[in-house]
Amino acid sequence: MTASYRIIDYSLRPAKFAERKMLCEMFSRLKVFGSLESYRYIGFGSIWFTDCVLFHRALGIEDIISIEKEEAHAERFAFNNPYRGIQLIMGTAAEVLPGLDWTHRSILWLDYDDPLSPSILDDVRTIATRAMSGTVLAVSVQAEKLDDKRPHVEEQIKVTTPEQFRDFFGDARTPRELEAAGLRGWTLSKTSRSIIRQEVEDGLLASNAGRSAAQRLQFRQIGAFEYADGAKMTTIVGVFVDQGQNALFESAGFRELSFFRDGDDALRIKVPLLTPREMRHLDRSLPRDGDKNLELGPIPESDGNNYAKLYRYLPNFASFEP
Amino acid sequence: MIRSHQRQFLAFGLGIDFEGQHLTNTDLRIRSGGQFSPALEEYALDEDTDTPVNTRIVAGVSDSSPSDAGWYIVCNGRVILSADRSEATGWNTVSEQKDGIPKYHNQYARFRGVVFFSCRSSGKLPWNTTKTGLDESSPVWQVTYPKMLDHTRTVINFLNTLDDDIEEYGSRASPLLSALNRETQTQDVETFRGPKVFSWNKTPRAPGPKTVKIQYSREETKIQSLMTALGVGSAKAVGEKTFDTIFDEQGGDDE
Repeated sequence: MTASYRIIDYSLRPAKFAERKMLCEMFSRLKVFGSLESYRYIGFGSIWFTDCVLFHRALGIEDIISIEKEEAHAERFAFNNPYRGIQLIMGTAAEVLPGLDWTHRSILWLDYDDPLSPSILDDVRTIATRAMSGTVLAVSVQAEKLDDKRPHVEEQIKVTTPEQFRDFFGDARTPRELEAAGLRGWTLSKTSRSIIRQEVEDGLLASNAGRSAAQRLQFRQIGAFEYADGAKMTTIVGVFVDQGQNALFESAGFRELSFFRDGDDALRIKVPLLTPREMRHLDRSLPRDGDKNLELGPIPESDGNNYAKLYRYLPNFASFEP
Repeated sequence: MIRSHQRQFLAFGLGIDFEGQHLTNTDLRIRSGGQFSPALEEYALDEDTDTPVNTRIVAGVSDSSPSDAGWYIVCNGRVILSADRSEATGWNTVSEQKDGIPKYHNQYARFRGVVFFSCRSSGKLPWNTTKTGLDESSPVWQVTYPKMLDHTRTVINFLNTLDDDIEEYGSRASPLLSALNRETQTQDVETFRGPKVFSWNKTPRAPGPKTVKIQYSREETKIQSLMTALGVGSAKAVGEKTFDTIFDEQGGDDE
């Protein structure tokens, strides 16, 4: 399989760009738990290090770890590492995560290109059994289709039925009420998020066994995104909070963010197709004045509304013709 | 027996003489050095009390020895489980989770994992009332067990890769095995301090383009006739020669 960084320039996918900006705004509210400079960011920076650079520049995080599994191109990753503060660790997340120092508050974004798999859930569990209060975890997976790619399966099988799902993920990880409808279209995105959330809960059950009541951690979901720049993708975001810090969590103001989602539904990021002139036109009536209608002019209403929701997070593209 | 039970104290220099024989420190050693490192995880539970439980997990590889392979559980210096390869330490859990830990197999005879628990209040440790075996219901154990699974998984993934390498090149020529033997020395487990990410030499052979192995079957008589036609002496050479011929015919590398 071609490494994804060879086919996708991560900085050019507009919905992903918007998602990254919204995550950044969410993360900036973690300061109630401790200064952002004291946080550590752990992600998969790929060859572009877009996430690492944004969180360094926007949040001031200096301790950054980028996990990279494409060992064959280690030199190229190292060459593209933009800052001294970014520590590039070669290896899979399964190899690297358990041996990290978990006494830091961390921002983790496990941004996979692949659809949900048992090994991704293992990584999620690794974190859930180690995270401390104030740590935030975001997990992104592809939600176009599920593939059973176990080594002993000669040709990968598309997982479309609950039976195939159970065979691939095992009994313990198969939701009791799973139906075939949950494995297709946008509902697969919802199913993926809810399975990730359950994995975190299961991990916490184990680690909470050794904690006093006040120290018991909960995973408080703060965000859920879905979009399709190409393949459908989905992300779930939550904060590990111990009972004693519930008030801090509430004071962070996550709920005030327009993209706060603590349930099954996600914010669907639909990037409007507008010309620069149309965007500047809409900008003049933004931010929206209460429920007042936008001055749309000839712009289709749905595009206008999507723009009003996302404009602060969209990239500014300019085309250049000499 | 005494040596095994008092492992940690012996490592720190406690001298025990038993029936005229001086007991030395145990042989529980893990290979480390070069690009190879065991995984090390340290944490404390009940940190806000007078009696925190300090835990240190070390997992890695050593020399191949089926009787020594497995997990060792040490509570306040006493070994309560030795070379354990049972469900108690997570082996053979594939049935519960598809990506779980397989049943122990001699392919994993290099695996060594140790968990050191220490606490001033010995009642908090995951041992039974006679302090001779594991108490799986202990909260401290429940916190530790999933972490051990992570480390087991990482190490056996490496051991599977090593096994494949040995199968492909033979134990004398396996680049990964020679890198392991060349770069590492065995080191007493008690001396490791963490945290550390499990790592190994991912490019033990001379750097070159990544290769993928192709395996397929064809009728024996057809292979023999191609061996004659191409003037080569093995089925492997027929495969390589035919591949190279078609590759050149198609104009070679695209990149």
